[in-house]
Amino acid sequence: MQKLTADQTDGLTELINIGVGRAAGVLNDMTESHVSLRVPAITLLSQDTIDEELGDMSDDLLASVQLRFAGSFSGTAALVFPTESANKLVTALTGDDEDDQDLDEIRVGTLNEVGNIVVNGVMGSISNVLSEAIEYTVPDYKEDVIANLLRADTAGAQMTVLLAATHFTIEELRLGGEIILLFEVGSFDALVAALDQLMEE
Amino acid sequence: MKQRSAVTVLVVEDDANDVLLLKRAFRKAGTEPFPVIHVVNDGESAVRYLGGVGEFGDRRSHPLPDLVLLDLKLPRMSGHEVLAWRSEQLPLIRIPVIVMSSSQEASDIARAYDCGANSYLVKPVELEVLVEIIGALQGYWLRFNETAAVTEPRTFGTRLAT
Amino acid sequence: MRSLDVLDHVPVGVFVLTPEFKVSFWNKVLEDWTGIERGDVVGQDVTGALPHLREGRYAGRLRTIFEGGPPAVFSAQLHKHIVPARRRSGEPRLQHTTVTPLRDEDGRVSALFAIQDVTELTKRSRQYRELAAKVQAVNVELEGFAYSVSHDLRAPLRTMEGFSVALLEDYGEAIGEQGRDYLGRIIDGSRRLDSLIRDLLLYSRLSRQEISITNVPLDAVVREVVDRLRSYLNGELGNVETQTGLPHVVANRLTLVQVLTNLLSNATKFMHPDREPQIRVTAERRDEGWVRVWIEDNGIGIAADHQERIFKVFERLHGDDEFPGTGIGLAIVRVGMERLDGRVGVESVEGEGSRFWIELREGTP
Ligand SMILES: Nc1ncnc2c1ncn2[C@@H]1O[C@H](COP(=O)(O)OP(=O)(O)O)[C@@H](O)[C@H]1O
Ligand SMILES: [Mg+2]
Repeated sequence: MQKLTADQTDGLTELINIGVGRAAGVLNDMTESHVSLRVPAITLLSQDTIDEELGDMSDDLLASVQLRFAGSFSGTAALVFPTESANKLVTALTGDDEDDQDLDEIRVGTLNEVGNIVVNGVMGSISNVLSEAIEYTVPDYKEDVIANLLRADTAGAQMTVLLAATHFTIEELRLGGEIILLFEVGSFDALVAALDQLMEE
Repeated sequence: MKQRSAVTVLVVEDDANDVLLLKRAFRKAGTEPFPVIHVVNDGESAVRYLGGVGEFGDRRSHPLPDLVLLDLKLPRMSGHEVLAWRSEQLPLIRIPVIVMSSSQEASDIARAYDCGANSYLVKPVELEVLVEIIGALQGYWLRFNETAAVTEPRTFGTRLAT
Repeated sequence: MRSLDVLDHVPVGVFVLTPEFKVSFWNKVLEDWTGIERGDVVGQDVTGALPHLREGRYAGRLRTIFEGGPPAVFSAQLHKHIVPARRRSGEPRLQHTTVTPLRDEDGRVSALFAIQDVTELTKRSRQYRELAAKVQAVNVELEGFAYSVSHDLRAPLRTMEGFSVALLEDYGEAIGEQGRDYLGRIIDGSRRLDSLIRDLLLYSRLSRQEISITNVPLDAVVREVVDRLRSYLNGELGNVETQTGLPHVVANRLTLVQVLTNLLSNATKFMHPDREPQIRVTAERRDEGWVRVWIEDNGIGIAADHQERIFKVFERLHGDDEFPGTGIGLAIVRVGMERLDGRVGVESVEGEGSRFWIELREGTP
C-alpha cells in the first residue's frame, strides 16, 4: 500500500476540498438549499482494511455512485451514502416531506445525480492538476455492502484506496451528515507527482 | 432481613375489582409481613401521594410506601408516565416499583423497564395464581429485599404543583 | 460526425448538442415525444427548442462535458424536464438523463443526451409508497387493537374468575352441590376465554413483531423445549426420543422455541387411548441447504381431508371435552415458519400417528 508524506496528504486533501466545494456550488445553483461540503482529512488504506475502517456499517446495504476513469491516473471513484445520510440529503434537496423512506426509484435517481455532481467536482479538480485527458465510463449506481462496492471490478490487482469522509451541512434545515468519497486506484504516483510539481512552481 | 414495624404498600389501580382481589390475595397468601395497603386510583394521585402533595401532605396518615404496585393503563396519567416522573425524583426512585399489568406486549414490558420499573408481573386470571404471586412478592420484596433510606425531599412535583 | 441514425431504433430519447449550443442530432423517439421534427431543430441554436439549457444550472455542467469531463446525470426529481415532452394523456414525461461527451474525428467534443422515460417507474414507485403507508397505518391500528385487547379484555375475566373462586371458598357450603357446580363452570369458562385471548395475542404478536435471524443450535433448542414441557406437565411427557448432534439452523430462537413447543405439546396431547405414547424428534439434511425437523407421534392421527385446514386459526377437529385447546397452536406454527422464511407440513394416517415437519435453512455452528 502506498504511503504519502504529510505535505502530499495536505495537498491532496486541499485538492479534494476544492472539488467538493465546486460540487456544493452546483448543488446550490440547482436547488434552493444551501449545502456545504467539507473533507477534514483523508486516509489511505489497503482494500482489506476498508471493512475495519468503516466497521460500524459493514453490514448495511449502502447506496453508491461510481465512476471509472482511465489515463495517467486510473481507477474507480465512488461516493457512498450511509442510509441515514441518503435519506436526509434527498429529503432536503427535493423538499420531499416524507422522511425516512426506502430508496424507491425516484429517490435513487436523485441520489444518482447528487453522487454524480460530487464525484465530477472532485474529478474536475484532479484533471486540472494532471493536465492530461482522462477517459470516463458512464456512471453506475449500486447498492451493496461496503466490501462488495469496490472490489468486484478489480479482482486480483493490489489496489490502494483513498477514503475521504465528507461532511455535509444544509444550513436552513440545520441538518448534517456524512458521505464517503472513495478512490480505488493502482497508484497515486502520477497525481502526487503532478501535485509536487505544482507546489514547486 | 429487615426490622420494621409496619410495612406499607401503595397500590395504584383504577379497577376496584382488581383492588379487592389483590387485597384478598394478600390475606390468602398469609406470608409475613402483612402490609398496610394504601390505594390510589390514577397516575396523578400516585404522583401526588409519593410527592406528599395536597390531600396526601400528612405523612402520618399517608406514609411513604416500602413498595409500589403500579398498573399501566390508568386514567389521566399512565403507569409509564408515573415511572418516567419517578425516574427524575432522586430519593423517591429508591422505592421499588413493581408493574402489575394485564399486558404481555413486549413493547409495554420493555418501556416499563426503560422507565425504571424494578419488576414486571402480568396479572393472572386465576385467583390461585395471584395468591401464589403475592406470596412470592411478600417474601422477596417486603421481607428479604434491602431498601435504601428515603429521606423526605424538600420540594416535589413542581409539574403538578397547581 | 459519424452517423447516429442507429439511435433512432433505441427506446431512449437522444439528441446531441455542440459546444456552440447547436443541436446536431435529434432522434425519432424525441420527434414522437416532443412533436418537434428533426428538420426543424437540427442545425438550430438550442435557444429555440430548449432555452433552459442556456441557464447557469445546466450550462455550467455542460461546459465540463465539452471540456471532455466526466458524464453528468440529470434526475427526474431535481429537474422538471430536459426536453418538453408530454404523453398523449397530457401528463408530462418524467425524464432521467445521462449526458456523455462525444468526440468526433477532429477531437471536437459534443454532448450526447440520453433520456429515459421514467414516468411509469415513478408512478409505480408512488403507488408502492402509498401502499406501504397504508400497510403501516393498518399495522399501527392492529397494534392499538392488540393493546386494548391486552389491557381491557382481560380485566372483566379476572373479575369473573376471581369472585367466583372467592364465592366458592367463602360460601361454598351455603350454595350447595349444584351451586358449586355452576360456579365451577363459570370459572372454567373464564379460564378458557383467557387462554383464547392469550393465544390470539401471541398469534398477532408473532406476525407483527420484528425478529432478528441468527444461527440457532437446534440441539440446544430441542432440549430446552422438551425440558420445559416436561416440567410444565409435571413429568408426564411420556417417552420423548430426540436425535443427538442436530445441526444449526437459520432462525430466530424464540420463534423456533414457540413453534417446537406447539408441535410437541400437540404430539403429547393427541394420544391414542390404547397405546403408550411414543414421540420422536429427528432432523435430516434435504436438498439445497435445507434442514427438515420431524416431530413424530403415535397418537390418533389426522384424516387426509383435514391436514390442510388445521393450520388455520380456530380450526380444531375435536370438542373441548375430548381434547382441550384453542385451535390457535398450529396457526402460530404456520405464521412463525413464515416469519422464519421456512416451511411446515404434516404426514399422517388417521388412527396411527402424525409426522409434523418444519424446514429451515442450515446455519453455521
Ligand atoms: N399431533 C397431532 N395428532 C393429531 N391431531 C393433531 C395433532 N396436532 C394437531 N392436531 C389437530 O389439529 C387441530 C389444531 O391444532 P392446534 O392448532 O394446535 O390447536 P389445539 O391444540 O388448541 O386444538 C387439533 O385440534 C387437532 O385436531
Ligand atoms: Mg395445540
